[in-house]
Amino acid sequence: MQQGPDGKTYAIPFTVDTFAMVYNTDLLKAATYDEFPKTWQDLRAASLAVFRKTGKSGFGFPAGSCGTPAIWFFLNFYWWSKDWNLIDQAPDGKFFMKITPEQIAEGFDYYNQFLIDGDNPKSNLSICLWGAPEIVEDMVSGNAAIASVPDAVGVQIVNTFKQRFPGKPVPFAAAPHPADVNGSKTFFGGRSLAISANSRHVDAAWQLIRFLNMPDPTFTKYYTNYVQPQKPVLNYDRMPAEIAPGFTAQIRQARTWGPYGLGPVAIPFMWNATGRAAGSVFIGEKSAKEAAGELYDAIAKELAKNQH
Amino acid sequence: VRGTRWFVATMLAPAFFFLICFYVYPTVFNIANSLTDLSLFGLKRGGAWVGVDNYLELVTSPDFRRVLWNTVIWLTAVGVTVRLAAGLGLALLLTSRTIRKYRLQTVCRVLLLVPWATPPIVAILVWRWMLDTRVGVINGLLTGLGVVGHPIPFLASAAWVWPALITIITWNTLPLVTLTFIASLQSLPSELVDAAEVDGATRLQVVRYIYLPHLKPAIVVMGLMSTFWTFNNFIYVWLTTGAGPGLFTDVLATEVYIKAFIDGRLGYSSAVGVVMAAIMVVFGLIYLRLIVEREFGEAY
Repeated sequence: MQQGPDGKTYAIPFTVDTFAMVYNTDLLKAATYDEFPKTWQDLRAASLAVFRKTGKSGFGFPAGSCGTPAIWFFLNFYWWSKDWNLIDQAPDGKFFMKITPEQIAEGFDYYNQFLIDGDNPKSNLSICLWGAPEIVEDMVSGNAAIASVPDAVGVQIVNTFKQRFPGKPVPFAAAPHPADVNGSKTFFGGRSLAISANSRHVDAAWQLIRFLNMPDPTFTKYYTNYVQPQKPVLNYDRMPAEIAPGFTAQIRQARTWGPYGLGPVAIPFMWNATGRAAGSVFIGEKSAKEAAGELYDAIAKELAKNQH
Repeated sequence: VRGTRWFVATMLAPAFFFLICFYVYPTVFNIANSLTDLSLFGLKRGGAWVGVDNYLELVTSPDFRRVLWNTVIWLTAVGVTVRLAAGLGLALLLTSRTIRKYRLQTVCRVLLLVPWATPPIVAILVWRWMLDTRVGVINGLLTGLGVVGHPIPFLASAAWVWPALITIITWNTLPLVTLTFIASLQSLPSELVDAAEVDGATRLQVVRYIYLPHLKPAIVVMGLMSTFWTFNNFIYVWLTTGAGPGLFTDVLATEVYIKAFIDGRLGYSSAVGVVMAAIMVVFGLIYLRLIVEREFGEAY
């Protein structure tokens, strides 16, 4: 149950999920990597090695801009592993930016290097979302070696491969994202069911919540958008065996959005602004330093305005 | 006289009712919102009065200059000019003697209607697919013919995204412009062209001194109407590029959406909308003046 500061229950957990790195074991072996890279520098090197030795994409991430771009997650995973946060909360309850413009720029530069060197093709600049068909197809067809995807997309990659190549060994595995001083950090995500404070039909909404929470096979059997509604959160027992260990290892290290969600700067605002800033760097419109400075100022201004 | 007034008032009342409900009230409501900090995440709380802060923030924002440039120059000026030029060329081609000689007018005009009959969302999806780097037919052709070594990310590169966007908009909206010009050309007496040719006028001179003066009213009206439709347009930019890459193709209409429904700043978004409407009023006045002058022969 999710309780507010007043102790009342405001929402009921429904699904959990996180991102992990799904990779093609054959392509990584071809680049002489028997294990998945554990640091950001290693990931960069492995991606480039795959590209140079096989001609295939290395880490083929969607780098496009839209209101809710995937690059927002990848940048935060990078920053969080280094214990940098766009928004953090001090013990006295005040929210603050635990990141500098230079550190923001470092994240932009890191991901931009994949595009500059070509191991993430420039065509991925027109792909915005983590589950885009192009990302799935590149993995299934062996045109890309590594993807950072949520659990449902990981399942889609493996299942599509099995359907397309029946009997062929599945060349996929999953691993946590690279780690740094703060470990490997992705978000502990999910969906909760709550009734809007503006609702005029509270009873009907409550009945729907009860229906959605009925045990299998009523609803969740057919609900495949997320991997495991209502299941114990730290085991991916519904996932294909090839990628389940990697996702389980990742979710056990994941963090919540925490201050991002509780703080005075709306996540959609930061999500959009971060994606736009990264996009302007990726197309060479702005330098990483310039875009990072603007992003920092925009969030700082919003924080100052909304924090009471 | 009194009875006549009541009759006129009664007849006008429904029109005024709709104007007030659907134009005046939303306009006043939007202006009122633009003077508050109303947030999408605090609708129940409502917005606090901030005066002209939203407008000041807008005009001093570095993004605003870029958004205005994108809207006025790229989307509207370049977009409308290309549409008018292409429409003019196509209209002259479709009314040419060669087309008439081979009895191709009907086929050409039916084909011309295809883009117009295609809903924008379908047109955008098809064009996105055609421009795709992996499976797109255009990149396939360019690489196949050896024109380029690698596929061009048309919708994700700073150099190509605006030309690609304008191509999509032009393709989908060109038929109306062309058909209007064709209709206008059909009212041109053929004796004028024949006489000019007898006098030794070249093809270019015929176009310059006969076709263009005759088409001028249609060009002006289509130019202004296209400006209205294009300046306000949201769907082409949003569905094609999402205002990206970065904010490279952000225009006023997409800015209104981003600020309102992504950033959640309804007050600020309303201010962008008011500025957008104010610019449109200028175009509207020009349009009214031209139409009234043409219809009634007097200044508005």
